[in-house]
Amino acid sequence: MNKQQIKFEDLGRMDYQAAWDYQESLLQENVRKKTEARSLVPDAGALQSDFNLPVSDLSTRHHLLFVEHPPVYTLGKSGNIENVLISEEMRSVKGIEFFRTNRGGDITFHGPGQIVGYPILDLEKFYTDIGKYLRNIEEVIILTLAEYGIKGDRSPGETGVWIDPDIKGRERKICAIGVRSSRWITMHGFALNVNTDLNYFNFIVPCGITDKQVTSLEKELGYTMDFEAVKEKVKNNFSRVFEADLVTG
Amino acid sequence: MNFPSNLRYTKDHEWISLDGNVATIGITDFAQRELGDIVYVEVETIGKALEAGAVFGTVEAVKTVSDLYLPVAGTITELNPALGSAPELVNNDPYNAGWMIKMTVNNPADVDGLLDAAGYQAVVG
Repeated sequence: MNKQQIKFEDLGRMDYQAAWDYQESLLQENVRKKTEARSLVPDAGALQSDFNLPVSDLSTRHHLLFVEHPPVYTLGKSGNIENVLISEEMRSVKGIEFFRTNRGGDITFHGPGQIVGYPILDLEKFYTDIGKYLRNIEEVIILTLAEYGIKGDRSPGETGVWIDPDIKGRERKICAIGVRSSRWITMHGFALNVNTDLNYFNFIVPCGITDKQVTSLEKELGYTMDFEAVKEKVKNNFSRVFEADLVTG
Repeated sequence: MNFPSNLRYTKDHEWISLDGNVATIGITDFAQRELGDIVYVEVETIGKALEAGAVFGTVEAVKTVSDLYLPVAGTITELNPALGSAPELVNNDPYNAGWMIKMTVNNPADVDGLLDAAGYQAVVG
């Protein structure tokens, strides 16, 4: 496998809708390139000289976006609205937005102090295996937690990164994952609680799982984290696990 | 993992079986394992003439929503009605009760050009 290049962008604070629109635009751009490249295959040379298109213009590009959202609950494609426990009035009083999305997974929360990562990857250039993709995202987070002395684990059948998943009553999720893949191009991604205000999770049944807790790096370690430093570690581990160079600009 | 030798396969992890010009299509044992518990199969392309490789629907598992790709050109005639209330059939019995669609194939010879079980086995390692 050639070492892939992933364009990295930290969007900073951005509304959920704006970041979603941006993801869609990057995904659609890649889908368009893929569709055009396919149609060029039978006589690629002739068509390219006709339209004077350099080959690279039809090559898909990988992106990794980091963003921090204002408080928002998002529900997956087949998520159960009953897992939202807060009334619409209370929600608006508290200034929390709500979106129904096209990713997999149930309800989750995004808010300040949480690193949201949206990889827009062409999996055909990595591996056409969505399960392996999810396990690799988990690996990025597990390696990051290890740098802080926290042992993150997988819980079979419950995608995400957990702490003490095997100790009944102690299981707590630190990173939620929900993705979509169109023409093997991914969108949506992961949400790692760093300094997240975990009270927001009390108004939902996170991921539709009733009997387990949610945690953050801050809660586990007992002090407020250097948010930028955690981002840097996630970024480096992403590059390592996906065997790719993260480039800016 | 089980890859029946009487089926043809694609690198997108679908299987196809052909009877005359009518094909039955589903996802492979490998794909269902990788996706995990399947909660919904959506096909909104019934009756449309589609090219090989076209997206004909989506399969939603617990944490993922993924496209489904048509192995060969043709027209989808039927979605497995059992999946509406029992999408887990795709996990439990991917090659039989968990089939997804039936289609009329434009050119049955196209199916011969797909991977055989050994070829697919090599793809999934």
